[in-house]
Amino acid sequence: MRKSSSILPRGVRRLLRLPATRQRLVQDADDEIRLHLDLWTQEFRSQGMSDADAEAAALRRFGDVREYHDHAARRAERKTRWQRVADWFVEWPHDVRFALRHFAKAPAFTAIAVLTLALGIGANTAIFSVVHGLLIAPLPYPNGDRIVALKTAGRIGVIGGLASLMSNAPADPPSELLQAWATRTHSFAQVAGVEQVYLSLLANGQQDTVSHALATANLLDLLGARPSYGRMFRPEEEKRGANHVAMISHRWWESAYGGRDDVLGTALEYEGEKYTIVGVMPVGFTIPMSARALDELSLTSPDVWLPAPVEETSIGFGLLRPGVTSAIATKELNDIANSADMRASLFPGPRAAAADSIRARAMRAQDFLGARELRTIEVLFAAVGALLLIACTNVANLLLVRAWARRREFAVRMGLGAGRARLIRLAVTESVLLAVASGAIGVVIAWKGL
Amino acid sequence: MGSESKDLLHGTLDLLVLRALAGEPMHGFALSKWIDRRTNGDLGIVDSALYKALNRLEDAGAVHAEWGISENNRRAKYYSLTGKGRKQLRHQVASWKHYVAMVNGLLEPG
Repeated sequence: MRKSSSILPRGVRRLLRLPATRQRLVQDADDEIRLHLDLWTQEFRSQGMSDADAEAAALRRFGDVREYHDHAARRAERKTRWQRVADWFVEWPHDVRFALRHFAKAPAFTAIAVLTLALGIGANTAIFSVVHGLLIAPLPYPNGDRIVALKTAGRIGVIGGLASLMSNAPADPPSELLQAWATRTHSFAQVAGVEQVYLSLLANGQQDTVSHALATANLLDLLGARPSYGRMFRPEEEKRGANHVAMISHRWWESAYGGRDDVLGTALEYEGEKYTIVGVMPVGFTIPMSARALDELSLTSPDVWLPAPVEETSIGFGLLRPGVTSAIATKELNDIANSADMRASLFPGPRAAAADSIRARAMRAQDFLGARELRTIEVLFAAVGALLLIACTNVANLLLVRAWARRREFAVRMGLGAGRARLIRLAVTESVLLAVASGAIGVVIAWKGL
Repeated sequence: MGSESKDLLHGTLDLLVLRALAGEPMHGFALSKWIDRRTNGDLGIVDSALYKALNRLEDAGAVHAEWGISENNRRAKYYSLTGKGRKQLRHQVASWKHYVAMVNGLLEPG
């Protein structure tokens, strides 16, 4: 009964099949109904009906032809919409291969375009990394955006018995002021202190000069960081002489102890006393927001950490309570610093009343940048932005020249039946490939450059 | 018409179409004639509903449609059951029989 044209195998026939356009699907449905009505008309005629009666009967038993046509049209629309998406998935690897072939045929053009873009992207990535590090996410810790350094504007010193505030740069407060802040403020969930010392000690059996620092037990907790190995100090170990414990930097753990597990429990000797290593600091851990101070003193980040109570430290950090801004915290720090009893203890002697008022600040990491540095960053950012713009313009020009040279090719393609949409897609694919390759090389350039 | 009764109607129509195609592939006319013959034309289904059922089943992957040449040398679309369609037919026949037995049980006197 069935005489299907199955000369060619199914896969091959699919290749030769015309694309299923919406109009064609609707036409197919109409043809199918036409045949159906003709066959029923014939059937009724063979039962002895007149031509007109047979046709009417066939139409009657079919139902609403118009309605079915609309149904078929909606179905065709639905099917072809998905078909277009499906076609795209089938065709894009072809577009990519085609574009790659084209690039391979013009290696000089490709190299120049990719390198131009890559340099522009690389420069931007590098500068953005700096901006990101300085302004957007300066503290790489979970609590980073809530951490402030507790500073005074100018160092509070005592010169010849006379209290004075020298210069205006951020300075570490005297230990007693930091202690007052730590105990009396309400803006902070926690206050931690660090003190940097530079002494020699006997470690791992040999005399070694290592940078070391004192820290309160809650330092890592405040930052939201965890020791990379072992544990942090306990609060009761802060009391000097109570417990002789130490933590070491990750770097020093690897260089002096070979990263061995049994480092925990080994002893360091410092000023004739032994300290037991209880933990290893996180990788790359250093005193937060201290990069500039360390540069000035040409100190590296501390390798040995000993516990100390907050009153023995002067580099203070506060973890802002949720909802508290650095401005609110600054106000509270100032109120405490300039309270009568605090001034009396900071500026002893008869001239206390005459001394300037103390200006304290709760500083976020980005607040450490001066106006000049900010300006430099802005100018650099604008410059690399302009550079990228120039690079883009150049590449666009190159592409334009190439498109002009290829107009014969495009004409041939159109002559062979390629639609405008298809040609545009080829061009877009080429551009996207250029951009992706340039982006990848640009990231490598930025990475090597930093 | 409520959506439930519509579902029931669609389901019944689908079952009929699947059953008709269980034998050999056929085009729409042959299908409508087959149902007519088996029911003496008493079911009164309009042919457009049959075609809609065929489209629905094709979109659901239960039926495969392919263009071929009919007995009188005209281009006709032939429908056949897919594996999925055969499975659906078995399943629907079983649940239809279950349903009929249940209703019959309810209608028994006593």
